[in-house]
Amino acid sequence: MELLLPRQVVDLLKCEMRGRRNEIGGVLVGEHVEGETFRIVEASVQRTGGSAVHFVRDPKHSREFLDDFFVRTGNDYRRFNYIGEWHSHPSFEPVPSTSDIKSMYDIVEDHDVGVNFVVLIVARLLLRSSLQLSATLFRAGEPPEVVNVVIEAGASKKGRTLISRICDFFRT
Amino acid sequence: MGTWNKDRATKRIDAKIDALPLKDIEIKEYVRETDLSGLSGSTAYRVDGVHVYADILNLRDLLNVTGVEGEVCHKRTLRFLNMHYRAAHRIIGAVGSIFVDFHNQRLHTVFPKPYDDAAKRVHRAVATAQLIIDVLARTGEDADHPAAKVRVGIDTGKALAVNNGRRGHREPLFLGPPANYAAKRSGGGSAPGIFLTNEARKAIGLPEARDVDTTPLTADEIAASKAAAKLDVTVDSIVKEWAEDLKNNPIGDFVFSGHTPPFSTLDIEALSVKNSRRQDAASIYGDLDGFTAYVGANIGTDAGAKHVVRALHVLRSELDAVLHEDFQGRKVRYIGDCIHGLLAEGTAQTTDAVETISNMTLCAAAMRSSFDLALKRLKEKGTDASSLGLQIGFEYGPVTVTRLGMKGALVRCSVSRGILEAEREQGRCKANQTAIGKNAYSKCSHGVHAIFGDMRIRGSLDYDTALNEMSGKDDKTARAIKAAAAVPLLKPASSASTPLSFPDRPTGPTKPGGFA
Repeated sequence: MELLLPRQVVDLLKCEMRGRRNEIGGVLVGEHVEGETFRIVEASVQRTGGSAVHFVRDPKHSREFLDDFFVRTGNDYRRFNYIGEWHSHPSFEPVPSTSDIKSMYDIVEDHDVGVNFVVLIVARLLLRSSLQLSATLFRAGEPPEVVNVVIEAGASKKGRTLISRICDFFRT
Repeated sequence: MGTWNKDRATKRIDAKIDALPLKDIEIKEYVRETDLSGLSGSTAYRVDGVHVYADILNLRDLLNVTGVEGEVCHKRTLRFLNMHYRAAHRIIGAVGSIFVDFHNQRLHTVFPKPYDDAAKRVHRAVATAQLIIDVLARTGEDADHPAAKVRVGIDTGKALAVNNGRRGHREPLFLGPPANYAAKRSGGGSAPGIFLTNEARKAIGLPEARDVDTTPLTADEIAASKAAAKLDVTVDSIVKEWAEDLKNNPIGDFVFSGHTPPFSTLDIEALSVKNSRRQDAASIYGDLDGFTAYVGANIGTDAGAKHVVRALHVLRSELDAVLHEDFQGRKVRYIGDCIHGLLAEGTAQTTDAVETISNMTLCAAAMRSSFDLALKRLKEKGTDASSLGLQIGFEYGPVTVTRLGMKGALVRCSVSRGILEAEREQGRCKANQTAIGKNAYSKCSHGVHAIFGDMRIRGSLDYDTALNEMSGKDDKTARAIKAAAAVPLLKPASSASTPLSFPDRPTGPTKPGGFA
């Protein structure tokens, strides 16, 4: 599987994680590009429900986000749909914990959810600006697999601060 | 959700053993006015004293007074215990014995005085036991619960006093035959009364009993002890003080809330009547089997006693570390050579029963793996405790956690039907067995079910065995742990399986998702 991650989503995650000691997270929605290639289109952000070591995603919060997304994408579910979950690990390596793995299997094996795969992104911010992340694919009855993530260029600079643009200039 | 790792446990055990070199452990004789509070972990006192265990027999009745184990039932039980803790605290203060612990319904106190006179100590202990029985009968009179039915066990002899617990929860722990035999007499039957071991009976000139558990002291024998002890407190004076104290410091109504798991973040020392916890959880008892005999065989010499102190601290702290560090549970207390702890998965409002029980099964199995490992490491470093075993029992259900008693000297209390059952499950184990309670067995995954079988008991259940057998039966917790262990070795996703696709309908999670 190849997962395309637009720069806007990267920037959103960085912005939300900056300065936070508690875990945050949300759901991911994606686009089926072709074959085994998917793109993350947006990520919901739930800033409550987390501690330094734990995060509980609230289904009510994500439901509103998903309903809005489906309307905006014309209910074209085969192309645009829920693709998985994300959360931050401010204090640990950004890899799935055993609790994370169990929760992802709970989702992918839940007939009410009705998906044949889900992706989990675990992320953390290093030195306030560098994003570290892992992406893992879960399918019912199969072991988790590492996903190849491709960061897509073409970021919108809208809403970005002068300092972050200067930082990006020196990084590139 | 937790995991156990042999390398991590080995490092922990070795560090604990190295922190307690035999040359640094001091064994001292208990002398007049020795202060046993705040003992260091490397000092132990040999104390010649009389041990008293007073057990409230009808606690189980109180917990079972309602069909459902709800808040009302727990409030009544905790109020009942709170009143008795306060009364017993006054009695202990008045007769000058050492308070060791209140383990829920069971009080342990020790009489080291008068020095050099075992007979007087036993008489004093018997007179105090009767005082406890009489006072507790009166302190229940006007409350909405029955008066306490008390059974007291008494033994005399030498025991080792060592440090128990850490930080805010530190009190002396007495190891050895008299502490154990007194406890066995108080738990030896369902008849109330005062039951002495033959050693204690001999000390006050009573004939040996054929069966000490069915031979309570007679009224005449108790009267003789009361006359010999000449306690300068009476039932009336204690009850009067207790009533005044209750008037000035009324027992507030219990306020319960759930703790957001994991329990490892619960600060029990911050709990009180108005800030108590109540939720569904798994409770566990892990008891060192054969420890009394091990202490009895080694307490006579300083060299032997040092090995006892080292073995106890290493084994207990490793069991605590497995529960707390590896599985994010919380120790309620050490009870002698036993650990009592709690563990839950889910949210403060809703405990995930299946996952909690799976996790507790793995935790119990990890305790045994660590215990076996610790015995091996201890032996390699000169302390042979290989005669010891580990009995583990656990159960699932509503639990309470709070602190009760006198202001300034609150005592931890975690009581419920499930907690009493967990202790009973541990009690039916042999040296290498682990038992699961009926309620946990009825709610567990197929994997856990298969491990324990119809007898709900399993011998030599270590971590690898539990993990493999549970994951083999599709236990989600065990499977996730195995998958996590393989994460560093994962291959990039391939397309050999069913093609990845979105369904032609809106999808999304329907339940809360817990991540860590």
